[in-house]
Amino acid sequence: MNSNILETENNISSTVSSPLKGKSLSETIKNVGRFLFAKNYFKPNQTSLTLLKTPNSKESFKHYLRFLSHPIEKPPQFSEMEEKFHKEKSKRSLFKKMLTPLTIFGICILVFISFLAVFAPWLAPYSYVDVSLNRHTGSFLPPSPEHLLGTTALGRDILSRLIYGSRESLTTGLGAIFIGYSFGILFGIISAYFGGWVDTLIMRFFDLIMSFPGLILAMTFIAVLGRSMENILLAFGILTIPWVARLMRSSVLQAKNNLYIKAARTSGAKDFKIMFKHIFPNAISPMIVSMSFMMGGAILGIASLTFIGLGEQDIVEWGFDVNIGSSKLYTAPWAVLWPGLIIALTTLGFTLVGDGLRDALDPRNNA
Amino acid sequence: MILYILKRILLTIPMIFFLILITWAIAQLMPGDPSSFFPVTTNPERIALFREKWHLDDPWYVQLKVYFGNLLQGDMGQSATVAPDWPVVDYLAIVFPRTLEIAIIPIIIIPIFGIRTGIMTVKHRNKWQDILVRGVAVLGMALPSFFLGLLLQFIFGYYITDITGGRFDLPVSGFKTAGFPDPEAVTNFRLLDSIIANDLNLFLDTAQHLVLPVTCQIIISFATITRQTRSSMLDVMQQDYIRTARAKGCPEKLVYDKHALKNALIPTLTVIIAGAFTLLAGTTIIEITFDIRGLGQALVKAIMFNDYWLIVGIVQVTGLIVIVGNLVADIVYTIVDPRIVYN
Repeated sequence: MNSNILETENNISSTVSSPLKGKSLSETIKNVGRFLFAKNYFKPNQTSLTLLKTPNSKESFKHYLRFLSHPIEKPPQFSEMEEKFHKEKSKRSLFKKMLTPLTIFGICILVFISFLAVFAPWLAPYSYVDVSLNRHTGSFLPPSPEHLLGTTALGRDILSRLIYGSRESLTTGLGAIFIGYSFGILFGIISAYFGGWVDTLIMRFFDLIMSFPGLILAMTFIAVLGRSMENILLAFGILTIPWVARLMRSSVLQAKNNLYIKAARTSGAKDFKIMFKHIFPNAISPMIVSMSFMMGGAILGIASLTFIGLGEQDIVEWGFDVNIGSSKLYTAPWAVLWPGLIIALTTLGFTLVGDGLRDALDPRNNA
Repeated sequence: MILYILKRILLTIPMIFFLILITWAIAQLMPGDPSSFFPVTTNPERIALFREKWHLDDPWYVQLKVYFGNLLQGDMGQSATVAPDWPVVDYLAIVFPRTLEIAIIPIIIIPIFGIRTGIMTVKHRNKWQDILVRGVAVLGMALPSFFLGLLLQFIFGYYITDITGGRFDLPVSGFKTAGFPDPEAVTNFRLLDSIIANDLNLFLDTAQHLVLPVTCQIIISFATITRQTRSSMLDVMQQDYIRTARAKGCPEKLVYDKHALKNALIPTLTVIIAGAFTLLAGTTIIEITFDIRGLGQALVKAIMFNDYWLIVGIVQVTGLIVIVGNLVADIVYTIVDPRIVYN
């Protein structure tokens, strides 16, 4: 086998090196044929193919890394292998398209806010007890070396409250998003998969919820359930459900008509298995883009509700700080400025990342 | 088409019925019944009368019947704590015009402004104008409205008054200067009432108080329409008929205003109408920031002080606005886009 390969290799190299001139017609045709069937031409050269192999061996991760580090320009003889790598290439180009300056800025903001939330006890100059309990050091003190950004009405350090407040905002936002997405995806799949009256019932009800202004509905929830942070989280989670469900429904309707769904049904799969094993993974990707926007909206809405005064009084939260500070706006503007700015910054980060993801995935921009 | 519009109008009647039913049901979920929301100091006789009036000791279907009966006679209950002993209808009649006053100017200005800037960004795609407008739109989406309102208050109430030596002093909160008399209530709109009362000072005072909330509202809501116009215009500009229009020698201004805009406007229209009605129903934050006693502030107060019938009444009015908004959107759609076939 090995010798055979070597032979063919020698043959080909000889034909390549010598021009076609001065040979008989039959030989020329043979050589042209060898050129046309380029697969044979490349078979023996294993080293050039290691790069092109689909990563399914133990070394798959190494292959993948090598591919990522490889420059994008491709030699013309690889063109027939192009389809094999469509997936990897599209991933790489998505990554490249996402890296616009604005998106990088957004990612930086999000990393910064998460960093604040995770390492709050090390970063904050005062402990959580100091900024949440009433330690009176003088209300609305101006910025000074002890209190870098000044103090609030109850004499708590604003910088520490900003750093600890990122925990409250991010966890409440994430909780709302988690509730909204888990139920929204469930309702979306059920609605699109079964269709008929189930679809009509669910979607008409969600249309009704969506046409209401979100804040008024959230406030109604708070009126019914009582004033607390958990109820705000629950209200925003419930408000997210219809949007997610509608998005998921349209995504599932596309995935539903694929051939493998028919194959699964023919081979006797149950509805539940088809929905969550075959449709769900193929319909989930558009949801990830919307998650960024939803998260920004949820954080903004939660801050608005706590600003109104419908949150709890003894938690560390940015919107609540703005509410307290707004009573002394002209004498102590720093008590409003910093919490307001950091809410705006967080929402801006989520909006920018969402914009970047959407633009990168938009088929209109591929051309 | 006329048949469809008539059908659509008739369809709102069961929707309104459904809305009232749902708000009533949600109100039932609130802890306690309406009588338990009175302050502790209330005379027990008054509570007994109240219980008798709404049949609170009877089963729920009797209560619902009584509620509908009273509602059809224009009785939405009485406020308990926010405005004691006021009928909710009367309270809403005073409160709602305040909201309408700060909402109506943005509703008119934003679509004009937003569509023009949307077209401009497409004309100068990826130039500095485009980047500037997109930046402002993203900021408008990201800035919390209360923070923007407080910033405006601080700038206009502190710095600009300071710089101009008090000559330029824009009022930053409330809907009237303290000590100014109320005009005779004819329509409950302060602007209209002061015109009817023929009082220029009163009119100017009211108008000055509206400047900052309206500016805040415009900056916040401007983003959505501009972004929508931009994306749908970008879609339309790649169509064949735009190339044809350019090839036949159509001036660039007409290409944008006549050929492209008319087709790009259809998805934008939904955003405009829906936005206008949500703006009407959702000025809560701005009302609280600028201390305007409108519908949103009334709702917050009602939730704070546990005013049962007021909460129900305000949510119903909001729902009514939303239903009417959807109706208007559907009717405008049939007029603007005759291609849509209705069965």
